[in-house]
Amino acid sequence: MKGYVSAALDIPVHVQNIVVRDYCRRHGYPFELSVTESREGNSAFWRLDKAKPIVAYSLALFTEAMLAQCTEIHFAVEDMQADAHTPMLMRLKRILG
Amino acid sequence: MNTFSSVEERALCEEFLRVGYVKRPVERLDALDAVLRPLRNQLAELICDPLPHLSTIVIQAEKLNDIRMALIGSLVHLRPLYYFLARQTLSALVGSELAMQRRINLSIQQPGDESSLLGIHKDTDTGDSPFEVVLWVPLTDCSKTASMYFRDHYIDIKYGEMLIFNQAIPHGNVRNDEGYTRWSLNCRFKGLFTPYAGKKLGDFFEPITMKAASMAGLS
Repeated sequence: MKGYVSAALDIPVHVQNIVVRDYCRRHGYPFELSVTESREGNSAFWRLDKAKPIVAYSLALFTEAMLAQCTEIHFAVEDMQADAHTPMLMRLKRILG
Repeated sequence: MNTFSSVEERALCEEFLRVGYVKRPVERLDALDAVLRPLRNQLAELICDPLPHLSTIVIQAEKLNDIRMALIGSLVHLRPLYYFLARQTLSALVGSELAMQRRINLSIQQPGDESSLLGIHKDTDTGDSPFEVVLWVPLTDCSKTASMYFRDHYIDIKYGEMLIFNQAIPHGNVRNDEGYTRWSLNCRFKGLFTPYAGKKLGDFFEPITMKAASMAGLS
């Protein structure tokens, strides 16, 4: 499962990687070294192979458009795999903070 | 403000605001039994089978947290049952569109154990939203030092009863000197659309009773 973390968050990248690796360990998923998103945008995400499972540090890194591109996506902080309810959760988080 | 609430709901809300908590029988004793049964089964696999009454169990200190965490992991699937313990009371006190903590916490307070103490505190001082309540449910009868306290008094509470409390009220526990182990569960609830603090929607809370109008609004 390919890791996906971001330099745009306040949480240090190495801490994000610890959380992502721990998620994979707890759920028995193989972990493949993370790609790190730049502070400026989401260019690293668009270079990812979306046909393969991805484990992102958090839902906060994602938009619905990005979600729609993924075949299988997990969020480590939220301890969840995206499903049909995830877009609704993203909208709720957007209005509630 | 509560003009349209029923007399019973107003009385419940006034008690909660005045005392800081309400203690009631659980609304579904069968649901509580259904929470306890798999927890006992798993515990029997982890420590000994047949399992004695929970209040007589004493677990080695070095194993306590691992066992507690294993049981907490299994409790995730029992959240719907846990909600049904207090569905109507939560609706009256908190609201009809709720967010529920994604984990049910388990507390094991063994006699003389000082490793699991939470001294007097207010969760709202450490990043919890004042809009949250805690549904606290004992799995063993407990009183005095085996129980928890609010401000200046202990809560006497039995299996089959529940406590819903305001985290902004000072509360805690002391060393259990009662000669039996207290087992209890706790989980937070809040109005889905009330302000969040340190514990966020998604990673800590999950919507559990969102209504059609809200879904339509979000679509």
